[in-house]
Amino acid sequence: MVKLTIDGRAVELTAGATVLDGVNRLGLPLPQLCKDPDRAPLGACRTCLVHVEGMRGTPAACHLPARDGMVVSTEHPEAVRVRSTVLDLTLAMLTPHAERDGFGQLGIAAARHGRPEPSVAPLHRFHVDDSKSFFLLDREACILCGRCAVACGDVQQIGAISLLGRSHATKVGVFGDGAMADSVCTSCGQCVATCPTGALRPKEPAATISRTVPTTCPYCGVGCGIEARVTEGGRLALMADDAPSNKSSLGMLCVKGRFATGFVHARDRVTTPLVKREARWVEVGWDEALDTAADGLARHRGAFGALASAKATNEDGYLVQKFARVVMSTNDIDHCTRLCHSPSVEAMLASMGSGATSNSYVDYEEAGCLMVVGADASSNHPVIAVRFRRAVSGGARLIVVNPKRVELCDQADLWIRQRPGTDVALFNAMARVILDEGLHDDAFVRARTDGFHAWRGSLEPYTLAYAERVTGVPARDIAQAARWYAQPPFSGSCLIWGMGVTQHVNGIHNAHSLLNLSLVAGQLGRPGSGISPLRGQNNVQGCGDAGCIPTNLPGYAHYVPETLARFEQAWGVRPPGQGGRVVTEMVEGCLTGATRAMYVVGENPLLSEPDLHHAEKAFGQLEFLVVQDLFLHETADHAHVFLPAAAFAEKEGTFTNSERRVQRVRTVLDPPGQARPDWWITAELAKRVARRIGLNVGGQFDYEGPAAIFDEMARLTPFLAGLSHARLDREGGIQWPCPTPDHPGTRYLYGETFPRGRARFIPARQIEEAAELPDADYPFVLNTGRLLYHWHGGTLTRRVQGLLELAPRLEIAIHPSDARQLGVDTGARLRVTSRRGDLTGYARVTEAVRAGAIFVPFVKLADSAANFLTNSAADPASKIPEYKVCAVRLEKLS
Amino acid sequence: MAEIVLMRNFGRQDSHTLAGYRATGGYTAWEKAKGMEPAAITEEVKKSNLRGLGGAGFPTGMKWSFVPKTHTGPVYLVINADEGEPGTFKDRYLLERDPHALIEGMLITARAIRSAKGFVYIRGEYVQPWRIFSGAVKDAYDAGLLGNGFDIVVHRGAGAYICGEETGLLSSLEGKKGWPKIKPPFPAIKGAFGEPTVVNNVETIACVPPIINRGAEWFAGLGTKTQGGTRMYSVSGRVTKPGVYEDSCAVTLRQLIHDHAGGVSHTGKLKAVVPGGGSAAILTADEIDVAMDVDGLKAKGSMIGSAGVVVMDESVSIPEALLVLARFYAHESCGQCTPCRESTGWIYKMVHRIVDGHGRKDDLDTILDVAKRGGGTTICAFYDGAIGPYISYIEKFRGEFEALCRS
Ligand SMILES: Cc1cc2nc3c(=O)[nH]c(=O)nc-3n(C[C@H](O)[C@H](O)[C@H](O)COP(=O)(O)O)c2cc1C
Ligand code: SF4
Ligand code: SF4
Ligand code: FES
Repeated sequence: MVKLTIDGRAVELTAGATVLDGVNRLGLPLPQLCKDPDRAPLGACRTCLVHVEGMRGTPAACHLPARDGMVVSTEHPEAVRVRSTVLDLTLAMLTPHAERDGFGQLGIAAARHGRPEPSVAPLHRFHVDDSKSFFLLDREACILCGRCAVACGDVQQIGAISLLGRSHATKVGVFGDGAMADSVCTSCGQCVATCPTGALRPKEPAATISRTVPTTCPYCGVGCGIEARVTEGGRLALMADDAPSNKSSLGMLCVKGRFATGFVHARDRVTTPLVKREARWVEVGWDEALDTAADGLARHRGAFGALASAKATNEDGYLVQKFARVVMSTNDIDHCTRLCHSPSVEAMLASMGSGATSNSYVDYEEAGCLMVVGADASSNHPVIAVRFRRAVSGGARLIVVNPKRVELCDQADLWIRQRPGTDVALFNAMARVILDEGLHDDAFVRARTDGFHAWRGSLEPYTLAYAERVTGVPARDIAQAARWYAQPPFSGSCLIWGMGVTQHVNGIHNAHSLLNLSLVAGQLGRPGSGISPLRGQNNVQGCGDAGCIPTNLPGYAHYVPETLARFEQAWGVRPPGQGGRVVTEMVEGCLTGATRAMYVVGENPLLSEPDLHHAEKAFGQLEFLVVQDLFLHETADHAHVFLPAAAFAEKEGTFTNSERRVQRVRTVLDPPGQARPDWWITAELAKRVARRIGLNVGGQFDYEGPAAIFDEMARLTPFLAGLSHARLDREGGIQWPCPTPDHPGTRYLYGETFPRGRARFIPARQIEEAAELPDADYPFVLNTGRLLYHWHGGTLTRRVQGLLELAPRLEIAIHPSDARQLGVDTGARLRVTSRRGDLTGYARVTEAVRAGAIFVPFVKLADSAANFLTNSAADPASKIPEYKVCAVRLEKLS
Repeated sequence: MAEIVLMRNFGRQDSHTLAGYRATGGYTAWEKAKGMEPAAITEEVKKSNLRGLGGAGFPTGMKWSFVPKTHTGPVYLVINADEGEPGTFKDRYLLERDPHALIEGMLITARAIRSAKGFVYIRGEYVQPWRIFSGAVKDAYDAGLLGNGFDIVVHRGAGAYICGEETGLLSSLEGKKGWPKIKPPFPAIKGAFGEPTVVNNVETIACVPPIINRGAEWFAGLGTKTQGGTRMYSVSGRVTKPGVYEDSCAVTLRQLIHDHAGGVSHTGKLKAVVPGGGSAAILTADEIDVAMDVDGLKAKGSMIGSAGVVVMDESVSIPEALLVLARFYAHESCGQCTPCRESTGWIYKMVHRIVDGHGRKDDLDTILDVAKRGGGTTICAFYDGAIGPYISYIEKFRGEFEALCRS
């Protein structure tokens, strides 16, 4: 601790603090224009100058280390004089303009120093760059403090904007001094949030912010903290603030978390319960809607399935599964994991006994090698991709395994472009290299694993020569990847994979071949290493934890007598004792009569299921469908009752992100109209169905609120037992396992043992490359995936104007040689046809895809959606559909 | 005139070759240093009163002793050969005519600070010095002098004066924009690539072998009480024999102009002298009886800086001379700090206006006011360096400026 006096007041600071920290602790009004409160000082603006007894000149407080006994004055006449000169020069850089709100912090500081007007005119004039959709760059309000360049370069590691040139000709700009829209800017808005003058500002009329509420981003599984800003008019501001204290996101956000929460105010939000009468929606009160829903569901008990939402909270999900198991007496409860990571989860459960990401995000930054397989993290998990880039800046090796040239390839040390569907051959060959060259972790294999010898035997056929022939990857590259992964230059290795691994008919084999690699190299269970299936939705992890899966009860409890008894004791009703049907089976069941009624919460399967025409037919056969959501989407069109739900910003609860961190979601606004939180709706529905079927559920569905639901779930789930809303409010997000209230949470799993004791090597075979291969009629391979600027099918993001501007139409990525043969250029209209359907979109000619392959994101834009084309052929073990490969043909349209 | 130490080999045709250097006793200091403890080398340099010859005049041995003794990672030695100070061209001579003196000095310094890697940052425009020095480095590798525990990387600048400022140089070396860094931490604690780094000027390090060979006392005795040794003065402008001259730190400005450079040329009448590179305050004709060491010039309100002496005779226009400098500063400011970036821009604009005959007398007061209030407020000493000339040129020659102004 150091003690000093500032303006006559004593202040005590921790060692390493600056004088400015002391000034701010005392709440003294000292300008500090270039100091982002959460970043290292830049020392550029020179407005924080102070006087220190015994020191020459006027040092800058922001980078002056505080020392014991220092006597500092912010009001010393010399300091004030010099500061006011600097403020004058700063003010002189700007051109006053009616729309600019007093230049933010600068205006306030200048006024306080008696400098409302600059004494000279600006040296330079500029045009506004308004080429981006959410914000603009107005250089006439820029004071060149450099904060935006740090945000873009050091924080986000993008490097789109920088201070160009030097001396008084310095200006903020992008490579080549072009328009921002033509740069590598990803619209993350980190720069906008830090700009002290509003030179970078959101494109919306300035509004007074009445309050900010810390909550969790509703988009992807990274789970960034956001500070939702509420305007005086009671709406979310266009731009959210980041949350530097959030341990998962460290103050970073991507374009969606920053600018795309406005869907909650979409004009077509449904805010009244609806019941369908004579094929038309009729607005009704809650009682009538719930009663109608309860009547229908009660009638079809026994032929019922529920789909919970990985977008909703843990509490919401927990209640949906409890409703299914307790009231509907079925384990036919599932969520979208099936469509993304079930092979990973199944394989991890079989091999290790848990399906969660083993490491934390911080381990990516500390790793010496990152191998990213079949994942376009820059688009789908943008803030995790930042961690990858930081690791690379720190000297880590980055290996990207992907048939498509994803953005990460630009930063990679090695890009492995295997033929689609040949992953097992690749990873098995890598494992052979590791063993043949003695790079494996023998001690780990001996002490921690089973099945090594049998597995080793199974690798026999996977020579480098074989793998080169099958995968098309040079043997030298396969061997290099194996060496780097097994023995990184420093620290450990992280293995990260996405849907490119799982969305295949051989998804589970792919996943096993990856897990075996991590085991043989011993690259898990310590800092800087681990295995990570990158989860899609914000709460996929939590939805599974809460029990919204047919295979396990909450907390992944098995259907064995002891656990069934434990749940019976808690719930008063014994859950059914055998596994239920997965979502794809429930949908198939609509056609056979095995499913007659469904309860679909916060999901739009008619955009996310494969082979949409087929799925549409199935849903059309349902006798009763209840949809609970924000919007009347494709699935809701087939519903009989629509229950309007509160959005993420309108309810309390928790989300669990990809690093197992349970984080709070808070009420920022009241739900619009009659919309209600999901947990409330499900509880009401459960009680009403129970009454109709004569089941006494006592107070099982009477909750004071989400905190009480969480407590019940935590009591039944040992790895959550130490958590509660109150604790999360106090300490911020905590990573499970957290078994007791004094447990700090867990950074990485498997340090000592695996949940199943020893981990198991499970041989993986290279089977056929895909269920449907190209032929003369359908000569192209279609690959699907996601975009940075849209979320999944786009149900939410299509309602955000700025995102539509960034990605207005469906683009079909096509290789130049194919484009030449078809005679199309970028922008040409194309029709893509598969055996199941067709869509139209616009060509984007790029070498990112291989010749013979095309890529279409699965967002639905202008009524075209890729899943009209995809194949519902599924991995027999985990039942994930093969989204990544199907055969199509292309036609040029005029 | 003092003994010639730094330029001792300049007369030889083969002074830039390893053989030529060895022939005059080259690398014997290194042999001797190899038998000394690192701390003993630093101690010797401290006692020699060697002070940095790049501009700031900081005691060299003391700088070396700031490197943390307990540091386990790499320590770097960086040689500042950016030589961008207006009127300074001595390092160029050393690189071209005695490159091995620098290499030998680096070997000894590296031993003192326990560095295994040195960088030499050479001004981009210095093509010939770069070629010759790189050749010498190659010869030193071939002879096994380098590559056995100490390596040298030669790096070329790209034409920015600010990359001569030591932390700007480090940023540039790291591959970033050449922006000076905020201090603390100072380079000796956290410098290049985040590791402890000693930055020294070419000439400073070239002094090290003679100090080791002939002892600290001898070296200290060559200079004044507070600064040891001789140094190289770049003398240019209106003199009969412009060039680089070596003499004691105790030599006076008058001796340099008259005894070394052959006196004032053109009108033959001295008007003003810049004694220590562009950033030193200007001296009038009757201020030249001053010792050319750090303290002597400080007493006169100027500085020895890089010892670049620019002589102006009666026919030189002081406002035009200031315009040249003002343009230089307005062009070379790195642009980070508001006072420096904006003031240099504004002051150039105003001096330009005055020289063009459109200025007003109160412009002069505005310039003085802005300059006087900006000192000591910035990240690096660039702006303080710019203020010296602005103020001294106008205050000492105000009449000349006023004569150009509209009334
Ligand atoms: C604007 C500016 C430019 C400088 N340019 C040079 C230069 O070109 N060469 C040099 O040796 N030192 C230059 N310096 C001084 C260096 O910052 C540093 O003090 C010096 O390299 C240290 O070496 P020394 O102690 O051996 O002199 C400059 C300083 C400033 C503020
Ligand atoms: S745009 Fe804003 S943040 Fe960037 S340099 Fe200008 S004032 Fe600073
Ligand atoms: S004083 Fe000038 S040159 Fe030095 S860091 Fe600041 S702006 Fe750059
Ligand atoms: S806040 Fe200290 S220099 Fe800008």
